[in-house]
Amino acid sequence: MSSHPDDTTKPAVVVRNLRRAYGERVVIDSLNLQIGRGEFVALLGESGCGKTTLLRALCGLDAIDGGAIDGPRRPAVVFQEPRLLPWESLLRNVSLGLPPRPQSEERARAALAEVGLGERLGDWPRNLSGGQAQRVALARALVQEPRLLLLDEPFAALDALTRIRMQRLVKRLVEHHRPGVLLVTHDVDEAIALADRALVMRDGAIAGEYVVSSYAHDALRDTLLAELGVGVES
Amino acid sequence: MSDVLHRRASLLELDDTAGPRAGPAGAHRQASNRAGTPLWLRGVSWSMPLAILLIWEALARTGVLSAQVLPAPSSVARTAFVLIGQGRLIGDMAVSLLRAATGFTIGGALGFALGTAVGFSRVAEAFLDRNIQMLRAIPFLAALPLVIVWFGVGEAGKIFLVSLGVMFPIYINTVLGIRQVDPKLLELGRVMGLPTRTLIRRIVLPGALPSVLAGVRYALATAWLALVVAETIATSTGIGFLAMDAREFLRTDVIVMTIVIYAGIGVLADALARFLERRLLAWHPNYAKGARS
Repeated sequence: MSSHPDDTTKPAVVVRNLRRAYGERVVIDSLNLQIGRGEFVALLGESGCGKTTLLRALCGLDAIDGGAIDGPRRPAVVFQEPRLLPWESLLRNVSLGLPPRPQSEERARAALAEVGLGERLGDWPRNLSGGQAQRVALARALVQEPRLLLLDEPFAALDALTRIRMQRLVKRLVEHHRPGVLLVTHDVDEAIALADRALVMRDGAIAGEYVVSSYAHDALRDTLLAELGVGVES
Repeated sequence: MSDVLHRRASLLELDDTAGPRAGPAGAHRQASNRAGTPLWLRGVSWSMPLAILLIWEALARTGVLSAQVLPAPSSVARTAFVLIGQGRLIGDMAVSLLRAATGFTIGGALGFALGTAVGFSRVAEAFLDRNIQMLRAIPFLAALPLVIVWFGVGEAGKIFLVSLGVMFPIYINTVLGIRQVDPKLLELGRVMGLPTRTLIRRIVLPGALPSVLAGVRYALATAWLALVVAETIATSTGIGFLAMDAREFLRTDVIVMTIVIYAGIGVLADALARFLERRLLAWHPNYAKGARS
């Protein structure tokens, strides 16, 4: 499915001077962020740095206290857990956000086939492995043809091999559908493997920005780890 | 040492297959474990009630048990056939079942409607919940004398009593079910921008269903209890009347028969509820294999 031409020229999301506070505690302060169409951005940061808060603000779950978010009202989200409806078939799960039209079912079928589960559209979620369930969640996100795709540590709960398979699948699907992607992760290698740009978040703001292609892999890895407080061992 | 560690790890793996991530292979292993009760033990568990029945029959025939106290199972069965032949039994059973069904429908609908309102809305909860909880504190059978004063000995009183007994378990389990719907799924619904109607239809109600059905099963037992009591006190038709009438003439065989019928219908009602659970909760890991009692 092709996107509208006017959409492709606009960035997927622009965040200006975002501020979010819980009472006295400022969690996000003067944060600026822009993600282009088809751009894959990884967001790294230690726990409690405000990553999750930023994500919740982007998907409209939390209000913001200042600044502006110029982006789609309903970006697609894949959470750490698949969050499938256990009482609905895989097909119904994938078409959950689509309008109830015959074409919607066709699109959901295609999306399931794209993640390699086209044979199992009538199955219950309980019969899936963790990786398969997460693939369904991915299909549910992409079937909406989102301008912005938010991935909230979607591979953290998977075993190492499944994680690598999922990362390759995501890379392939994103290259095909070309949404702007924000991947929140703890995994530096994952960020380098997938992202065009890696951001490091600290104390509620973007503290570092690295264009992945302009660094050697190992150098970037060491730099990012150092940014996250894990220095190189001598 | 490493062997022990390894074994522990594989135990953990087994546990893991019971979780939502169970693959087909894991599910199969679990099923075969469950069916693993040795055949002879299952044979014993079925033949023991049969043995007791035979001993009872023998004691009654040899006169150790007086027919006034406990008639033989065979004579109870004979009595049932005679009564069916006279055309009484079926009619009385139909009357009793109709009372139970009507009361269950009214009480169930009321309990579900109130439960849904309170489950969704804090305002409805503020208005209703405390009152309902206070009414619930009354053992509903204690209301019986009042019910007789209000409704006399007609059908309305019996149906009222059954409805009363059914309403509370359904109400409580509906509220509980709605409150326990996975907040992560509700969040997903909000992120996807589902309209409230869709949210209720596709996330809240299915999520509450296991709890509601547990309430239905419990309520079936309560309905039955309410019916037995109501029919025993004041009535001129139904199974309960049959029993009271038989008491006048010391027909112990008829009394035992009515008790057996009450038990039998109770078992059937529970089987029906379990069938519903298996059908409606086929997606649920705990119900799918019919392993739950």
